[in-house]
Amino acid sequence: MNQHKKSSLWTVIGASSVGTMIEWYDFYIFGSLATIISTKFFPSDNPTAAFLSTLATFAAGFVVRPFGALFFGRLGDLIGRKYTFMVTLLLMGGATFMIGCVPSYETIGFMAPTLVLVLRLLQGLALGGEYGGAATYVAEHAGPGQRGYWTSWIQTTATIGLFVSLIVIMATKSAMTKEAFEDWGWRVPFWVSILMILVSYLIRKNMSESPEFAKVKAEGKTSKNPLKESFGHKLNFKFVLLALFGLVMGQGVVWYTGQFYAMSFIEKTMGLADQKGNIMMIAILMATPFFVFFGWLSDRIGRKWLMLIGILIAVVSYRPVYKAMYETTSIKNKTEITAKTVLVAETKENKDALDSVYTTTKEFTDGATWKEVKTVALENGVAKIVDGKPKVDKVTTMVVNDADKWMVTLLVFFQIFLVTMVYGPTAAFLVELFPAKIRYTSMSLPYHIGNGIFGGLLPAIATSLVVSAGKLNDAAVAAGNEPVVQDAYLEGLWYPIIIGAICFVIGAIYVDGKSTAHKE
Amino acid sequence: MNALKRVLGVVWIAIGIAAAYFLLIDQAIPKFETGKQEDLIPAIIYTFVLAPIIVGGLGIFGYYSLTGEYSDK
Repeated sequence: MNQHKKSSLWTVIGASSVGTMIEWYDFYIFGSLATIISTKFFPSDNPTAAFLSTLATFAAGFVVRPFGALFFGRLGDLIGRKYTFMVTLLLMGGATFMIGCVPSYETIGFMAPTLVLVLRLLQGLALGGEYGGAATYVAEHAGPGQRGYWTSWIQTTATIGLFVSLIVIMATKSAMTKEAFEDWGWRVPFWVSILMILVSYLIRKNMSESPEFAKVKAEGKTSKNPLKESFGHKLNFKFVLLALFGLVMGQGVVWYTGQFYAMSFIEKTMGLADQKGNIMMIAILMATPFFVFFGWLSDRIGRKWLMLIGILIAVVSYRPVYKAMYETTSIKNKTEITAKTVLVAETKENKDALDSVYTTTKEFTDGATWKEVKTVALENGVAKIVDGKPKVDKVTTMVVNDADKWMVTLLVFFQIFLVTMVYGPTAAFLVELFPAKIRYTSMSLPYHIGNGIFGGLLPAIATSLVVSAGKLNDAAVAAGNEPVVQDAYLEGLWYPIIIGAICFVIGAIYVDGKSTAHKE
Repeated sequence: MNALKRVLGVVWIAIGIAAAYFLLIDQAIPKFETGKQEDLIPAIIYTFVLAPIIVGGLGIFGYYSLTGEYSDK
């Protein structure tokens, strides 16, 4: 490749990746600030507002993204990649900025959660259209034999977007008092987005259309109806199904397990709430370069088996890895310094009632500390009964020593390493599966169904499996028997394991390792 | 390999049907019946989003597989 072409490719990569990274940033700050957003817009004691809150999380993240893929994918195949992903960029930036401007529930009542829900839906639509456009645009500039390497830069953007969102939130928090952040400071990360979008818009504005699409357009070979050609014709639709079941659904569960379920597991199951951010950020930083490495490698040794082996290792290793994470920090494996155990019982006011609060702190010989706060809701001086049981909330937190923290970081790094192995070559694989005239539409839908629905629902389904196993064990213990499910905290992993295993078999048997656009 | 692809078509259809049972009978209906706010959204998602994609998608994939659409020519 000559120097001029290489330098213009870097400009293409820069313009596409920065914009896509910002879109992921916009999408993630809503999730990262979900707790504070709930208090401002979705008061939990109001059932309708709580319902809207759940809708904002589920609908935007999972259901709307495929619709965005269809809408903008069609547009991209009709009028071009460049203009379409300019629109998605502006839509995302505008919606994010506006979320930061919406007055709170206390000021404008139900209009507040309704506006936030609508803006969140627009975010989901924009994200659904962005990724396919950026990946296609870059791949069509790169040319065959190098698509894996060049598109892998786009693949880093989701992880970097998450990372940047955490950094901006932490910087904003550290620049003001806790009260100021909770009052108005949480809006700053949303406002920052408009500056980033403006810069990205100016860069993208001067880019030219992708050469491959420009050629198709000049020859008058663009699709008249991309939706019909993508999903209405068996010849193409069977490849859409193959992309979804033979790769993207497996990639989606590997991605969400490594980056999100791991985070939730560390915080909620292991109790390392204070160390979670640090562990995740180090693991993400260590693993991110491997996106580019595996993208590059896929150009040399092929994409199919690289991605499938990543999925297979994930399927086989998830249970031992999560068991090792849990056992590393479990207090059952530590020696308690009983002389340092403290139990404090007190009564605290909670709105119009009183709660009994029992705080237990323990220290261990390896330097770890453990704290449990048990809150028993009271009614007329006795425990309040809800669903036939006393209403008790228990929050357990723990701080482990450096050696344990690094061991957990390493185990999370291993999971994100698998993410890079599977996700790094994904864009190139999808681009090569479909012809240029319907590429944007055809690759966007399976990508967003695989990630948004199979991946995005992972936390909810995995949690539901763990809760079900816990209930079975509770019932068995109540009946005087042994627990029926061993290691119930690992039950949630069956979801990514089963989906990943099915995906591996389909991918191994049906996907052609030499696959390029099937009818070019 | 073509014969294996065809035979597996039946397996994908069967998995689709099993997924329908799990998602609708085992998960969604009990959640609809509780009447609790927090159960309603997962029940709707299982019924109207996840089930159609898995059952319909795997069903069609299995059918295509069974009829030789994925066979090497």
